[in-house]
Amino acid sequence: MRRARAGPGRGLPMKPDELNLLHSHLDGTLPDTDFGKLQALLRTSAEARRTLRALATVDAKLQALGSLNTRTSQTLVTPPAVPSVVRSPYLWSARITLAAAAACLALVLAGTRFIHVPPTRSRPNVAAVISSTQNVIARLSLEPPSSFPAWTSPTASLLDQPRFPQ
Amino acid sequence: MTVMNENEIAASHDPREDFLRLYTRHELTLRAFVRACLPRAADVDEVLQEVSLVAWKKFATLDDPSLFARWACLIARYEVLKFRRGKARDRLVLDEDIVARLAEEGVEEAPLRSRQLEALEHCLEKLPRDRRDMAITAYAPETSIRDLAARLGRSEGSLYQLLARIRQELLQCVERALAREGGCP
Repeated sequence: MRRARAGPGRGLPMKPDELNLLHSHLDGTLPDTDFGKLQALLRTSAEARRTLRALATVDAKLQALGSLNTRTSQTLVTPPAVPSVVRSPYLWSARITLAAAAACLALVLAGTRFIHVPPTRSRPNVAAVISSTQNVIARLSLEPPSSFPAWTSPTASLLDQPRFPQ
Repeated sequence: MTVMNENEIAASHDPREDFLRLYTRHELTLRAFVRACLPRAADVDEVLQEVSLVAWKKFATLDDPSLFARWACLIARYEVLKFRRGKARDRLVLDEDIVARLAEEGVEEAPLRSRQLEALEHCLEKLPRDRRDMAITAYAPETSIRDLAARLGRSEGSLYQLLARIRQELLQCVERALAREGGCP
């Protein structure tokens, strides 16, 4: 599985146990008994040295990401606690009850949406309108006679006085 | 988003800004370079800190900003060997001749490393989300592999095997991508 392929400019492909030596060296888990093998391999094989440098590059990148991303480790290492009620044997009955309640609610909402309700128009307060109109009429009748010509409307005095060309 | 090239970066006339931009751009390449020589992540951080200091002190001597990655890898090579000499008596420390070869060949591969990292972005996107999250979690500084394995209901060994498979899959994806580009990974 870990057999490295030979490529252009490379030596012989590495054997799995040789690759294991390199990985153990990088992990710091190489047994003392295998250290001599590792040294002999690195001394004689340019491919082993090249592979070690390439694996060290991968290792350095992962180390850099590990230093940056401590939040990832926290989420992986300590999974969120599951409340005990969720793990209880009544889990399924509780879920079914909740699902039924949700379905009923959805039906009620859907029903209210499809029932036709004619648009309501707000009814004016007729008494208030009449009273307001009467007040305006009364006020107009008390106003002094307009100094404007007859063509102006009775309500012209309520407006800005027009300016005529000289 | 427009990405400045090295020559555009060097046109800012502020050496601190130029250095920061260049170093940030090539930091992963440098980390990968050092990582190949030193298996412990803490050692990698320590060496990279020295590399950044020395590189900043010598930045004025770098004439061509497009050669920053290679130039910084040469500094890193020196710092890796210096660090290794200080730890020579520790267990599982590679012999100096091996570290020197890894570093020398690594300097020549600096442009390839940048292309590998670009391809890696796409390969990580293709990786199934659960595997990607698991790998990133495993590499987070506060994660202990033992604890993570326990939480995932796995043995430590099987988790390390899974991480190795993920690395291998990503590497194969990167090599396929670079082969499609017509390059020779």
